Formats: sequence, C-alpha cells, structure tokens
Amino acid sequence: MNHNKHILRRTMLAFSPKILISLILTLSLALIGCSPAGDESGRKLKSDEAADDTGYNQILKGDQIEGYRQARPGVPLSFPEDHGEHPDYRIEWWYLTANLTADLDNDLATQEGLRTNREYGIQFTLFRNRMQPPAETEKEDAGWATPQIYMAHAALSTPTGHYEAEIFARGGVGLVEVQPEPFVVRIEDWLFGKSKKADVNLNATTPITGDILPIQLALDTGEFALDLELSGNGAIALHGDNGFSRKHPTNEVGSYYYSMPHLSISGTVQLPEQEGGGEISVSGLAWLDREWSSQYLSDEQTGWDWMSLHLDDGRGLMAFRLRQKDGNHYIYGSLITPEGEVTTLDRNTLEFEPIEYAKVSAPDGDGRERVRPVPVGWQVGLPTESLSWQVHALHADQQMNTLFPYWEGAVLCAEPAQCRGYLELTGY
Amino acid sequence: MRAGPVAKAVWQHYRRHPIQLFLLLIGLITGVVMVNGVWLLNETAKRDYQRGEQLIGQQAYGIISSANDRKPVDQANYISLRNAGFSNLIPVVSGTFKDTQGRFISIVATDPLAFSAAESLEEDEGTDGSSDEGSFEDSGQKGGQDDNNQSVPDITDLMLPPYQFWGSAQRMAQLGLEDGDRLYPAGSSGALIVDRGAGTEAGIEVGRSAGIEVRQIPERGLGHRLWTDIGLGQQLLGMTGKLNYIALMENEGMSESERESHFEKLAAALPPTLKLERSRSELTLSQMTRSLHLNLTAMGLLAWVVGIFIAFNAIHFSLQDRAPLFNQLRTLGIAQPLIARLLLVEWVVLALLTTLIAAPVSVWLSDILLPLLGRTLDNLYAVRLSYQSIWSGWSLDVVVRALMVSTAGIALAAAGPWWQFIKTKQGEQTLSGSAMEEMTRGTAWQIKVAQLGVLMVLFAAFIAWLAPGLYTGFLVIALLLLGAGFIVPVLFSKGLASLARQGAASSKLTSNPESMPASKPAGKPRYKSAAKGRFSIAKWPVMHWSVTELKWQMSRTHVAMIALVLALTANVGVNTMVNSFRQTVLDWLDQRLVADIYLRPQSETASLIRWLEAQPEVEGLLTQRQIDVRIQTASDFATDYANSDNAGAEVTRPDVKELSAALLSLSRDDLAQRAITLYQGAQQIDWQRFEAGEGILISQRLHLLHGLNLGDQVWLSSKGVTAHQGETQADSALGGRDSGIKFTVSGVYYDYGNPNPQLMVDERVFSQYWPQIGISGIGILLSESSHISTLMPRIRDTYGFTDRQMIDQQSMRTVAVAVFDQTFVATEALNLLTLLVSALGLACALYLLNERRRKALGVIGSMGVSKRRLYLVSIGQWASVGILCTLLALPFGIGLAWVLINLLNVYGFGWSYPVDLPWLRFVQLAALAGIVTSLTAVLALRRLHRWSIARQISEAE
Repeated sequence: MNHNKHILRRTMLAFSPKILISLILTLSLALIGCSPAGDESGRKLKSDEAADDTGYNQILKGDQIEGYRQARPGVPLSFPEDHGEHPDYRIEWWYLTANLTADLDNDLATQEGLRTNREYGIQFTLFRNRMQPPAETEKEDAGWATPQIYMAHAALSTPTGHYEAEIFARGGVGLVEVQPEPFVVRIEDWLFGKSKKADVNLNATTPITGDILPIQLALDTGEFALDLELSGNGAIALHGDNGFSRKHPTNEVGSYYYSMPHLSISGTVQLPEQEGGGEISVSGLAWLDREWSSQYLSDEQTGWDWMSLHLDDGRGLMAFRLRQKDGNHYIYGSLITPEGEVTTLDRNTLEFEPIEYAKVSAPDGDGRERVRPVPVGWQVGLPTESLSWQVHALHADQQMNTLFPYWEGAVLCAEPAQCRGYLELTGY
Repeated sequence: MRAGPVAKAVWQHYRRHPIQLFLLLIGLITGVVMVNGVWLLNETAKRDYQRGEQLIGQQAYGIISSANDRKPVDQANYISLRNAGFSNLIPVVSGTFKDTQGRFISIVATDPLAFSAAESLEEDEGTDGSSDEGSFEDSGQKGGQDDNNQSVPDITDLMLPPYQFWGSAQRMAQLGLEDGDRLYPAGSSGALIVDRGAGTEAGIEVGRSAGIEVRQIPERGLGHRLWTDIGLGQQLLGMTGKLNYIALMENEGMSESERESHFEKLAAALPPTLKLERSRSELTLSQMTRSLHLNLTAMGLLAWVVGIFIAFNAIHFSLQDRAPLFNQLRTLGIAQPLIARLLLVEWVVLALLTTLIAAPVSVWLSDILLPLLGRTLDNLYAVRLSYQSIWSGWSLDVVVRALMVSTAGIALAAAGPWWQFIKTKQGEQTLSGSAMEEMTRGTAWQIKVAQLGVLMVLFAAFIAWLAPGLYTGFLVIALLLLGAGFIVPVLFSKGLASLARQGAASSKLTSNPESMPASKPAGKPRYKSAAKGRFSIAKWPVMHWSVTELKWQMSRTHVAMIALVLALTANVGVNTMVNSFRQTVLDWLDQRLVADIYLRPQSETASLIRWLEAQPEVEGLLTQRQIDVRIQTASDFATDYANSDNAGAEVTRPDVKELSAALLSLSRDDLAQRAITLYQGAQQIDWQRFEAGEGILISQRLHLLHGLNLGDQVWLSSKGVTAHQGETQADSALGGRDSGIKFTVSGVYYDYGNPNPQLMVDERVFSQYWPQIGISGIGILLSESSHISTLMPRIRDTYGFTDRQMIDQQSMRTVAVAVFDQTFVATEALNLLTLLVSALGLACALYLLNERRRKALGVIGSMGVSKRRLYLVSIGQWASVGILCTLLALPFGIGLAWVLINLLNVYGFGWSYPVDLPWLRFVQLAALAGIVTSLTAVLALRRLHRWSIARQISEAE
C-alpha cells in the first residue's frame, strides 16, 4: 500500500488530469462550501493557467458542473438519511479528525516531560467523486460502469512522526459501501461505521433518531492500524443557513455542510514499526465533517487554511481562511456550543493569522520534491470574547504525501490553554 | 611519401567501377543488418521475459485462477479478497473479440484504479514528450474540453462509458489505426457495450454504432493486446461478473521476504475453488520460446552467409580487375606489402562504413519485425511481448555488434581473395587474370567443393541420426544448407558440360529436346517455331554457343550461385514446413471437430442439457469436463537406477517427475473417440479398458517433451478437490503415491496448437473420481448441419448464450486457420528477405560478369546474330538457371523441412507432423526464381546493349 500510493500519485498525475482536478478540489471544497458571498471578480477561467497550477488549485470549468444536482438553500437536512451518500452530487466526503492522548499506563508514554510526548492525531477521510453527470439511462446497478470513484485517506500523527495511506476504488461492484442506517462507510477493508457493540440494541422497533453513535473506525494500512470507537456527544452543527453553505453572492449555489464536533474517541493504535510497532491505548476528542456539493473553487483562490479546535470550555471552533491572489484573504468560521448551536464568525469576529512557518518537503504537482514554507503556527482569537490562543502543530512534518498532497495534522494550543484540534493547509 | 599516390591509384578503381563498391557494401550491409536485426529482436524479447509476466507494464508475481478447471473466476471472489485487505490485486479479463472487419482483436481489461499501471508511463512521457507532439492535432476532434491536456489519454475516458481502447503505436499500426480512430466490435455483444448514456446526447448504442475510440499510449507490456476497462472487457467478452484471473502485483521496493509472506498469506486466504500460482518466470518464458528464437537466429545467420557470398564475389572481382594495376605498380618498384596494407585499409574502411549504415538499419528492421514476432509468440505460446520501440532502447551494443559482424563478414569474404593476392607475389602474375579466377573456374575446384558439400550432407544425416535435438538440429540445418549450396551449382555445371559435349559430338541435334533447356524461355514458344524456319542454320550454333557460354558464366558466378541455392533451399524448406504444418492442422481439425455446435456454458448445465436433448434437430450431445491435475510419474532414470543397483536401494520413493496438466473427459461415444487422432497406440488401443478407467490418453507434448510413453504409469492428483475413490478401485488405483489415482498410458494423441500438456480419460471415469466438476463444454451433434442456423438463435434466446460462448464448426475452423496463418508471419518475412538478398547477390554477380562478356557478345553480334536474339538467349539461359536450380534445390529443401519438422518443431513445440509437399508452391518458387534470374540477366545486359558492337569488341579487354 505504502509504495503503491507513490506510484499511483505519479500515475494519476501523468495519466489523469480529470481525476486529479476533481479529487483535489474535493479537498478544497471543504472550505469553499462555507465561502460567503463576494470575490466573483476573477471567476472567469483560463484553462491554460489552471493547468499550470499545482493540483489542488486547478479549477474545473462551469460546463463540467452542469448536469449534476446542485445544492440549494431551504432544503432541510434530514438524519439519518443525510449521513449516507448523495450520489447525484459531484463530490462528497466523510472527514474524521481526532486528537488522541496515549493512556498513562502505556510503556511508550511513561516518559516525563512535554505534554506532546503522549499526543497523537488520526485522520480518516472518504472522498466520493462522481465522474459523469447523472443520466436518465443510468442503471441502478451499473457495476463497473458506475461513475462513482472513491478515494480514502488514513493518517496517523505520532509525537515525532507522520504516516499516511490511501485507497482508490470504484463504486458499483462492492468495494465501497456507504449507508446511513445502520451507518456504514467502508472502502475495501477500511471500516468507519456503526459499532458492532451497538448492533445488539438495533432492531426494527427502535425509532430512527439520527443518532449514529457509537461508530467504529477500524483500518489497517499495513504500516499502522487503528481500532477506535466514537461515542459521547453526537450533537450535529449545521453550518451556514441550516446546513446550506452559500458560496455565491447572488446565485443560490453552495454546498451542504455539517459537523459533529464534540465526539469522544477511544481505542487502540497499532504503531508503525519505525516507532516500535507496539499497540497503545488512546482516548481523546474527534471531529466529523460532512459535506457534499457540485461546486468548485474560483481561480482567484490560491489555497486555504482550515482549523478545528476543541476549546477548553467545551465549545468547538471551526476557522478557515481562503487565500486570495490579491492578498485579500477571506476569513470565516463557526463557533459551536456543546449542543451544536452555531455562531457564524467573519473577519470582524474571528482572528486567524499565521505566526510560525516551517519548511516542509513535499512532492510538487509534477511529482518532484520541493521544500516550501508552510504556516504551522497560528494566532486564533475571538475579539468579542477577548479570547485568543496560540496554536502550534504537534510537529511540522504532517504532510500528506498522497496522490494529491496537502498538509493535515494535529495542533495544540500553547499553555496554559489545553485546547487541541486539527489543521489543514493546501495550496502551498 | 609514396603511399599517397599509390593509394590513390589503388582506390581509384572504385571511382571507375562504383558498382563494385556498391555491391560489396550491399552484400555486407544486408548480411549485417539481418544478423544484427534478428539479434536485436531476440534480445528485446528476452529483456521482456526478464521482467517476467507483466500486466500493463507492471510485474505480476502471482496469478489467482480457478483451482480445478479453466472456468472464469467469480468477480465476487476478487471483491471479497480486496475487502479482506489484500491490495495489489488486479482483476483481469482478457480475450479476443471479432470486429466488423472480421479481425480478431486481443484485449486485456482491468480496473485501472486497482493498481496503478503507470509508473513507467510518466517516464515514457518525459522522454517521448516531443515525439507525441503529433497527437495534439487530433485534440480538436473531441471538442468540449479544450484543455491542452486533451492529447494525453485520460484514464477516466478509459474507465467510463463510452470507453476507450488504449494500445501501443506498433499494435495500432498493425491494425491500421490512428490515434483517435475507432474499432467496431461485431456481433450481438456489440450492442451491450454501452449501457448508460455518457452525458447529454450520447445514446445507449454508442458502442455499436460509433465504435470504440482507440488511443495510442506509450508501450507498457501490452504488446499484441489493447487495454481497456474491465467494464467494457466483460461486456465484449461475455464475462459479466467474471474474471479470467486475478493478478498479484509487486509493490515498488518490496523485499523478497515481504513478497513471499504476502504470497503465503494470500494463498492461505483463498477459498478452495481458487488457486494461487507463481506467474511464469523468465526461465519458463525463455524456455518456451527458445526454439523460435533459435529459428530466427538461424535465418539471420543464413542471410549473413548469403551476404558474405555477395561480398566475396565483389572483392574477388575488384582484385581481379586491379591485377594489371598491381602488376604495373610492382614493376614500378612498389613493394607488395604496401599494396597489401592498402587493401587491408580499404577493407577496414568498408567494414566501418558498413557498420555505420547497418547499425541504424538493423534497429529499423527489428523495430518492424517486433510486432510480427509478438503475433507469433502470442499465437504459439500465449506469451505477450511488449511492443516497445527498439529505437529508444538501442545502445552502443548495437554498433559494437554491427562492427564485429561486419568485420567478421569482410574478413571471411576477403580471406580467399587476399590469400590469393599474397600468393601471387612469388609467381609472376599473368595479365590474363588472377590465379584465383583460374582456381574457381577449374573443374577440380568445383569437384572439391561438391565433395565437401556431399560430406556435409552426409555428416548432417549422421548427426540427425545420432543425436537428434534442438541444437544439433540447427547444426544439421546449417550443414544441409551449405551442402546444398556447394553441390547444386556443380551438378548444374556438370549437366551443362555434358550437354555441351553432347552438342559438340553430335551435330544432328535437331530432334534432341534435351539440348534445348537453355533455349526455352518460358513464354516464347511461338518465336521459337517461327525462328526455326528462318534461322535454321544460325540457330543451333547459337544454342550451342549459349550452352557453352552459360557454362563459362556459371563458372564465374559459382559463388553467387551458391548463395542463391542456399536461399532457395531455405525457402523450399520453410515453405514445406509451414505448409505441412498447416495441412496437418487442417486435417486434424476436420477430424477433431465432430460436433456441429460447440457451447461453453458458464453455469449449471443440467437444464440446458435436458432442453437440448428435447430439441428435434439434436441427434446427440458430447460433453466435456476439465480439471487441472498434477502428474506424477517415476522417471526413467530413477527406474533404471533402482533396477540396476537395487541392492538395498530404496525403491519405495523413487525420484518423481511432477508437472501440471489439464485432464479432460472424453465422451463415451464412438464418434468422439474416433475424433481423437492417435499418434501412438492407434493399433493396440483397447477402448474397453480405457472405459474401465485403466487407460489414459496423453497429448503428444507429454510424450515428446516429458518422456511419457505407452504403458507408463501416471498418478494424477488435483489440488483442492479430493478425488472420490470408487470402492472397487480404491486399492489398485491409489497406488500408494501421494494418494494420486493411477492410470496407464494407453495412447498418445495429437494436440496441435496447445502449448500445455493435456490428458484424457473416459467421461464416466472422470465423473467417478471428480463428481463435483461440472460440464465445461458441450458439443451438439445435429441430424443435419443445416439446422445450425435454426438452433443457434434458439439457444441464444433461451439461455442467453453470447457469441463468445457458442460457435459452430465452420466458424471454429475459420478461427483456427486465421490464427494459424498469422503465426508464421515473422518466419516467412525473414525467409523472403533472405531470398531477396540472394537474388540481389546473383544480380550483382551477373552484372559484374557482363562487363566481361562484352567482347564475346560483340563477336557473336558481329556474326549477324541480332541483339534481340542475344537478349532472348540470355533470358533463356538464366531463366533456366533459376528454374533448374530450384528443382535441384528441392530435394535439399525437402530434407531441410524434414529436419525442421522432426528435429526442431518436435523439441520446440512438442508436436510432430508428416512432411506434406506443397507442389504448387514449388512451381511458384521455380517460376519466381526463373523470373528473378532472367530479370537480373536482362538488367545486366541492358547497359551493355547500349553500346555498339565495335565498341564492345574494342573496349573490352
């Protein structure tokens, strides 16, 4: 698997601009979905320019979006159905990040010293990408002819290292399974779904509550393995207009976007051989993001910085910054109560500024290694509440060297604050 | 410094006779190109084998297939293996479909997402980037997406309806396709290709009506096949939900132990219906294809030898022409060693020049031949060669090889003349011509050569008798060819000499038809009869002269004649071999294909058989089951050892030969049994004992290559399926050897075209031991074959059989013959090239000779014989030379075919077949040789005849 992906990435880059563009943009959409009105000036595309860009900044033209189902405001989300997939939309993902602390009785974590000695992070993402618009002649059971292509990423950040793996698979033939009730997201042998322990309680008479907990995450990449369970506060936070994130000032286009920001997580992590290969018990906080849409970035945007924080007071903070070519970056965020109530933040109510850069080596769009500075330290503030945190990466090297490379890793608030979270950086 | 002017004098010769230089170079270059091109071709193929079995340019080190039979693997098995965490697996559907032009197109279909196919593609694109420029022009056709990416094939277009085929440039050229052209699958399956619209206006039947686009990609182990998505592949090949096999791929940087542990883990995880085998290794691949490569090498060497003869001729003439000059130089006091050194320099320069030209041309030749070889390999051994461009892979090696081969060639060609030149130093050289000429002209020399030829042929026969085998076979061929080359021209000369004597002795030749062969230009009988009256006095002397003069010519073109006879012999041999093989296979097919319709059911057959039996047209059904078995047999050596030295030797566990083979059931039906053509045991076979389960039939391959003989005992076992033991037979059949079932070989049957070993047992015996194996093939016997057209559509409608699963006898035969005819394309191409090279050699020799005939022709002309008549005489002379040489070469060629069939093919393929003489081909060849020789004579004469008689006489020395 590990070597595989290396080949895959190079392959896909050489072979397949379409997949490259669409899958890369899947990542970007996480943020674009909540992009507010504005910055329409530069949306006209120059395809040659786009092709020169590195992967995730390439932009699909409008006519390729046509034919897909579009997100519209005023359509209430409904659970558990919306935990499942929305096949007529171009892109969709299930995005889980978690900050884990190794239990004290672990041999590996008994060392006295910095808090970071026991800090771990994990990421699991399933991306769905529809390659062709829906057609009337399309069969329910298309088999290999399905237009659905899936990509899954799994990553483990240890106090000193970072490991990742990815899987590509086609829908239609049983390699990928997604269903809302009981909740299952599976790609090959990577499983993210309703825990088996919960199956006992599940029967036909149980009213559908939308509660998908507990969820099990079980995967083995060959290098590391995760066996974790999500439970606890399953509050759902609907971003934007009741889950519709507008991305255009006048047209009603955008994405559906919700989060489960207050999940508890615990279980075991099988460490890679480079880290001794042992199994450790961990527990911590997890954040699940769900988004689907058929829209894409404008070429004005060079990338984005996204952060989720589990604040000390029990609230969740989602913040992101869309970097504009003209330097007029767009800042946006959601402050989420433990009950899932969302306060939308903008550049007046949210401070989100890089304060520390680290040089990270990562493959370029053409597959060549390149070293570039990446903002791994941030100043995050809520001016209205006179709160602010300095947030730093667990360590700088949490680059995802996947087919479509990006930086995604665990972050910690500087003492005395104890908040933790995840940071995603693309376009560097 | 005197070397300068001397060199100028010596070398100026070629300025006056550029044609000699040209011919010398042509001889050398063609020889070097052939031998070097074939070498390069073989090397490329062997490099390909080194990478082992490949799938889209990636190494597959394991193959998962059905454990017991050749049935397809359920796709569900693949899905569950992947879902169990086994990555590095590729689902593969491969096969051949027919397009609307009736061509058979081999495809391999995979899921491109399963494993990247393209590690090397990127590199290729890096290097080939500029050369791909041309495809940019096609990008406009598609419209819609006007990205500059359009010229690079997009993997999503391969994966999604309406799909694409991707192929190498070579394969596309073979199919006559340009990047972006379309292929149109024939038959009902075509309609199934696209089952969902691909956007706005694209309809359901896109695949049928608009065809499937073919894109050109850099070669990546595809070779003869086109690559497409598994979705399309399954539809085209009627394999929905099925796979031919699952390939286990090697990860980049995987260590040997990781590989092994992964292999073991996967093998352990397989359900009993599947088996995991290692893919064919480099060793297996090169062993399988060894004889073919030797064959090609031999052809290349043959062409080289022919080239050397041409070069020898040219050098010989160049020295002879310069003899007066050398004499003059010597009388001027120039030392012989200086001239000798100059000649050496001359040849070294020629060798270098040859290298310079031959190296790139040989790359070009092998580049052209590679797809032909790939086709042969695919048909004969199911080995797929990647059609990589040899241009991109060629190295200094090629130049070094070319230099070596050309140096060796010129050394061989010049050795004789050179030695002669050195020798003439002592004895004073006469003006009338070199001693070399005297020597080659002398009867004694010819006799010696012929004697050598006879010795070679005898020696060849001796070797063939004493040590038959693949490599000795090639020695036999070489000896036979050279022997024929040495004997035939002498035979011819002797014949002419006796004819001439006869003509001189009896002046009343008028009624003797034997004296006329030289005057018999094939298409001119009317002229002859007309001439009889008018030139009755002049006629016979001219004929007489022409015979004598031809004898003179022949003595001077002896070496060129040897080359021609060599090529003719080789041609007769290869033609006879291919034709014999073809005829045998056709006869065999006629006997083997007894049923009118053949079905390949993929699921339960019980209801199908009941239905078929109820049809009024059906007279009978032949069913076949198949299982893969392991054969164990006590090896001959072990048995001998145990017998001779058995004092306390442990006989219980002798060395055992093990190999896997397909075991087929043979219908208990007279018709089916008679359809098996037996090679051995036809007389004594006891069908009753066979039906009782005591006997087994083995394919000829098992007999010839694996040494199994009539009466031998074999133990059969199958992995994953425990053979069910009949109560009565349990004891005797078990035989105590790894619980295999014991059989006695009671017959050896021909199994042409099958590169794998095979056995047959009676159908009830088969079902008794392996009751769980279902029917894999059904042959339907009809009361009248005209019912084929009514029954086949009914089967299709009732049971959903596709064209791939159902075929009638005639179509099956057509397919077999079509495949056969493609198989020897590479061999025949090389064969023809050799003949052309030798014809060229003869033309060269004649051309040079005619420069020397001017005077004689002038004299004849001055005696009142018209030019036209002289022309005709010349044509007659040489046409008869060509025809008669072919006839004389026939016995040698037929002998060669016998050697090819009985010594080479037997060991190369494991098939034997009788020599079948293609008389029509022989007549064609004789006619062709006659035309070629007379044409060369005409060409040589044309220049001459532009001169006046006076000039001919005065200018000729």
